[in-house]
Amino acid sequence: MPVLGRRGFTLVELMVSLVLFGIVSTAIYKILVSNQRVYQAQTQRIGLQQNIRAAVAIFDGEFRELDAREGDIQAMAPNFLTVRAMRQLGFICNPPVLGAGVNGLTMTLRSTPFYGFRRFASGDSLLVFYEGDQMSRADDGWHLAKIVATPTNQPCPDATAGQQLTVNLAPFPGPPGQVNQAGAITTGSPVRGFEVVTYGVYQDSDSSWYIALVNASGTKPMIGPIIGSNGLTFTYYDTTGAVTGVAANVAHIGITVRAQTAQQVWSGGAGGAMIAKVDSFTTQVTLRNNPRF
Amino acid sequence: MQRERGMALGLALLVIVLVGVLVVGALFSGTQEQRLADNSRRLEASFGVAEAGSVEQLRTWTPATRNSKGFYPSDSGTVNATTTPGGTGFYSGTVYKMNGNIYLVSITGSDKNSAAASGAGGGARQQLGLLTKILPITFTAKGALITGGSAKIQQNVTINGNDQAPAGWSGCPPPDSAVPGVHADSGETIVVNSPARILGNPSVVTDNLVQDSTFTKFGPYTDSSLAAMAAVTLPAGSYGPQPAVTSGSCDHRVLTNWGDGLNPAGPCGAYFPLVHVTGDLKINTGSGVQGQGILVVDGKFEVRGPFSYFGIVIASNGTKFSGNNQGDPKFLGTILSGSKSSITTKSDTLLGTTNAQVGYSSCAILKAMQGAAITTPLRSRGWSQLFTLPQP
Repeated sequence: MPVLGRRGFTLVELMVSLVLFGIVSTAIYKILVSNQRVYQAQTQRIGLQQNIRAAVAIFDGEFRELDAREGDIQAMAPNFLTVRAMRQLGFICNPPVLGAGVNGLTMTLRSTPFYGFRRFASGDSLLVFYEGDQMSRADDGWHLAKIVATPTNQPCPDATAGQQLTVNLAPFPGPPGQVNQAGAITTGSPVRGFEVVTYGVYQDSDSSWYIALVNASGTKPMIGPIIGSNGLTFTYYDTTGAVTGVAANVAHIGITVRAQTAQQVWSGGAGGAMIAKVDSFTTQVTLRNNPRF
Repeated sequence: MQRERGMALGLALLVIVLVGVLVVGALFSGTQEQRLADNSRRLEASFGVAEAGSVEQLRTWTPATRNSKGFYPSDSGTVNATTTPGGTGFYSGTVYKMNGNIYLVSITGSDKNSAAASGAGGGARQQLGLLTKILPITFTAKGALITGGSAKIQQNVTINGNDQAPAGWSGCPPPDSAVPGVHADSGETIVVNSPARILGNPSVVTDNLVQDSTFTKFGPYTDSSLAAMAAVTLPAGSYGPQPAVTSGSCDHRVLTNWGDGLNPAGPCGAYFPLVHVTGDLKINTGSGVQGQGILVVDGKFEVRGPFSYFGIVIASNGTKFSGNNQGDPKFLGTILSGSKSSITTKSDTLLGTTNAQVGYSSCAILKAMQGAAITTPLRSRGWSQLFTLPQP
């Protein structure tokens, strides 16, 4: 076959096809880059929103169970809150003997029903239900105690499984109506375990701000990053809905979380820049355990 | 056939694939976000269901069913799977009676989709607990016999305001200090003919603590609300209550079964019904005729012969007790004998013969309350979010 008879592309065809290929490739590349940015932004935003949801879920769970009137709010400010966070709930099957000393008393708790993230351990703080006069609710309340020795397995008097605690009770007279008398803490009375925790803003070594949990184990960044020292705001309301600065009067707690994405994302548009997206959430929690009368 | 050449088809396929990848990527992100948000929504909805369910248990509390249960671990009450009134989900749970006064209402709630196992993802559930305590009946005046009218006590009657526990009863509170044997409205006449005796501190007192409301208001309860809570309601008439046992269990369906205070370890020993008689009540006395709990009589209450009762008696139009040659009536707890219309109404409060006894018993009163009273959350810290211990 003659060389001139071979079929092929002209230079013009080649140039046109290359230009077209370049245009299409560029368009596809831009779409891909744009899509990647959108995808990254969406992922970051999802993380951000989930962060906020987690914060609200944690705060709701912790604060609903507070009894502000009886000292569960130990310190409060717009950007931190120190509370007795409830951790366990159990029931006495063999009560402590009252009427004499309040240190080194023993009591046995049922193994079931028992609720919490772990069983009791030495050093745990307790609130023990004080029955007092069974014919009245006026003296009902909770008495502070602390476990002072490692709990041991000890059956209940009805031979079911139990855990024996050695405790020091807070001095009497306790809250109004609570006196150190035999039979004032009864079989079947509930016992709550709690730890004192602080929720507040915290700046980590990477300069980012977080919502942190502070307890006896130290400081743990929990939620974040937030937008800064104003990324968490607590507002305290009394029963009338008015803002209050008195811990014992708190009936509702307003929570506002302002968080940002963990990584910067493209702000969009031709002149877009890499920025941290910000979102916020506000809710209000009603304290369920304030005294009823 | 003309030979086709070019890249149009390939390019088109490439573009379609790329667009598909982009769409799938966008959908994946959107779906993830939707699932996360839905999980949160389900969690919140389940919380609402559990809280509604736990409160519903208190609203519909039936003392005859709940209070007659044995203490944990011997007994507990089941809350069957129930749909919330708004249809937002389902809840179920257990009511534990931890002692005579305190209950734990443990309710697990799931939102509608989670309970039906529909939709993507796992099911959400929340477990809440309400610590409740019986709502005690309280009295403005104390005494073995509290009367709004005059009283006449004669022959070998003993009215004793010193606290005493019924024979064989366990779990009684520490003894109360002595109360008046007879506590009457000021100005009323209390006639005691020897050898009748009245004991107490003081033995007889008349003051204005006894008023109309003494017989109609009992702290958080009224006579009407007590009547509405009754496990047994009977018309005016004559009855001879005795324990009823069927197949070894206390038969609550028998309306003349008012418990078994004489045999506290028996099948009906823990049954303390609130009995409401809507008119005058006469007891057909006899051996073994007895009752315990709370007895509300919308009229006059008459007993002639052997009859034992442990708990609280509220008779709106006076009482008349006497013995016969078979035996005598015996009451432990407290008796309120008054008039709904006026405390100036004179009614024979006690006409006793032989060895009739009326004694104050804080134990009988407490047990009657524990058997018949409704419950409400503890004064404080009665609400709890429950977390099951992690398995070791």
